[in-house]
Amino acid sequence: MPAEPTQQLGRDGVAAVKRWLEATTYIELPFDSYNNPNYCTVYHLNGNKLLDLNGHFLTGNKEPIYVEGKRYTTAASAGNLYSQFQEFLAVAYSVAALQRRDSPYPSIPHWFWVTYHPFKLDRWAHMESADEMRSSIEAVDASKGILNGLTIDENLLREVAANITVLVYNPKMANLSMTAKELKKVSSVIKRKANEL
Amino acid sequence: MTSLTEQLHRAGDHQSGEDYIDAVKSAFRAEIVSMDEWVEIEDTKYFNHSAIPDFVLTWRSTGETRPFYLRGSYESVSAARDLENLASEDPILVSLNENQFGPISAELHDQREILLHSSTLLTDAEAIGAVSTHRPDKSPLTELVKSNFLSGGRGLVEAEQAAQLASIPSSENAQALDAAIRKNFSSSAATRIQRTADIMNLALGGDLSSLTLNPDEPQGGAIRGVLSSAELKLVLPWLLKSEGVTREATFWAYISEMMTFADLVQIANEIDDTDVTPLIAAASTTWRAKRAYIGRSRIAAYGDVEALQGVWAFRGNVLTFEQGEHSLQLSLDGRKLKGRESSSLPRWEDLKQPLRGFNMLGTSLKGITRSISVSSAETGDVRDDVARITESVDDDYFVEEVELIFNSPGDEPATRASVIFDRAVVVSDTGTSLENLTKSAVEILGFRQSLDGLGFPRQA
Repeated sequence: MPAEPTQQLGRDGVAAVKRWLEATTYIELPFDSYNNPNYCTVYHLNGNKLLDLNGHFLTGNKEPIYVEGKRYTTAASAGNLYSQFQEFLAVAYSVAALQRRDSPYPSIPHWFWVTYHPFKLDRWAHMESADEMRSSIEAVDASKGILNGLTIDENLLREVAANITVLVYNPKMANLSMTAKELKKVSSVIKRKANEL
Repeated sequence: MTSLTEQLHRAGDHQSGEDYIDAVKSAFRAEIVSMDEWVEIEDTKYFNHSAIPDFVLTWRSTGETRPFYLRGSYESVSAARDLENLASEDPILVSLNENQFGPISAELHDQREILLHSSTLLTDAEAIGAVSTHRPDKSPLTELVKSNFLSGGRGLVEAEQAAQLASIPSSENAQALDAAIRKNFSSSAATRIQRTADIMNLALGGDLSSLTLNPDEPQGGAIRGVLSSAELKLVLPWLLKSEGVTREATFWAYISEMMTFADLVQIANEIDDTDVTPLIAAASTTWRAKRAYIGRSRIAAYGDVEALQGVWAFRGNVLTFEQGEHSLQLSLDGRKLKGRESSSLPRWEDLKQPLRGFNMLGTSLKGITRSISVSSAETGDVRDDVARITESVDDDYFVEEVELIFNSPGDEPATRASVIFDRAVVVSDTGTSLENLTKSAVEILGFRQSLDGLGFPRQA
């Protein structure tokens, strides 16, 4: 059974992040954990996890994207945030490792971590690195067995780490993003969906 | 027939998100088409996007377009502030879940205020299903509600309101009906629906005195204007086929003013073989057609004893009146009534009496030794001229064609028609009233036969 929808970001937080990312015109995020938990659930070596948003790029190879958002208002919950981030990285790797077991060329999705506040400032500059991912996997494997007995494959690790993006969302961006009317006009000109059959 | 909500639940069984989206969109496409046959649907290929609609609906007849957004739930609409962000272009917002984690949130209740003053339609899949449900007892009113829901619907319409709207009886107290319709339809859609309700009430024994009221007066009288094809297609068959509908001339004159003969011909398929006499009689001097023809009735031709007699009715696209052995046909289209080869031309002598009731503009006569055409540029009658010519030259004259001219009411220009004997047809290229065509056919073309009562009762 998928986990309960994350309470932390809330429906409005999820909606705000979705709107912000879709306003870039490069991304479409049709599914969220509240309305479509089944399409927002990923399966890893030791279970599954529910992410906030699922969608894909509209350009290039149209790769899938999973988005996890975090918003905290007290120092207490901030402390938790880094360990949640580590779990996020470990899950990303474990999902790829599970797929690699079944198919030699799994398509590795992109993983966006969107936070309202930066955190763990001493490691902030290296959050997307392979090193960060490795140490996170080790920590989460020790506590939750995320590798389920497997060892880390360095090549796979680098591939997955390359697809991690950490973003900071400022709610003021809502007023700095194109309006729906503008986006409709723009989308008819830049035609991101033109290649869809 | 699985309902929309059933199809949506089943769509959730798909493993892949893409398949889910395809299934949801096909279900909605089919539902939209079943509600409104005039709408064109463009699939944007987006799903639940914060700015780009899922579909764009276009109505060619009015040129209007309306964006159609699918949303996960009413809560999502609220959380994303869709009512503010998407308000321009009066969108349709459809929640896939009727309610998800309990009753409608407090935030959505507050947004009802916004909805009251906007033209946005906020509804859900279950409500749409309730409006579009196929009903065996199709009343024009409920059908109009259904077909106007997507183009003119507004406000918050949850399942309960949808069910009420979809089964609203026309006999409902006028104010209550008006309030219910205006709350959830744009003003032009509401007026159309209200007009149909008025027509239905008048037809079933309402007070017809409102029809003679001047529309500029404070009481306003009945709603007039022009009935669209969509409305005609729903209301006319009901008016012509339902029991208890009045045959009062005032009522049918009111109806005939809101449409043309061409409009009636367009929906002829829906009223094939139905008695349309009250409408034709009321419109006989105002509606125009271009061809009249007298042929054999179906009883005479095929021995079809079931055939309707003594009434106006459509057979195919041709308006027909059959009596005894004869059939009078009126049409807008020369292709439908070509006439027939007829070798018997009448003698001028024999036409003198029948022509007394008409203004003759010209004629073509064929004698054994010579042919004569007589015509007048003005509206003067040429009968005397013809009489003089035929008496002066010794020959037997047969009439090939007679051109008639008819006065029009008020300042309208006069109309013309030609009675062509060798094709047994009356032709008016610019059109003349049904009454004029009938009279020309019955009294001139059919002068040899006794065609009293064919078409319209002969004026004293």
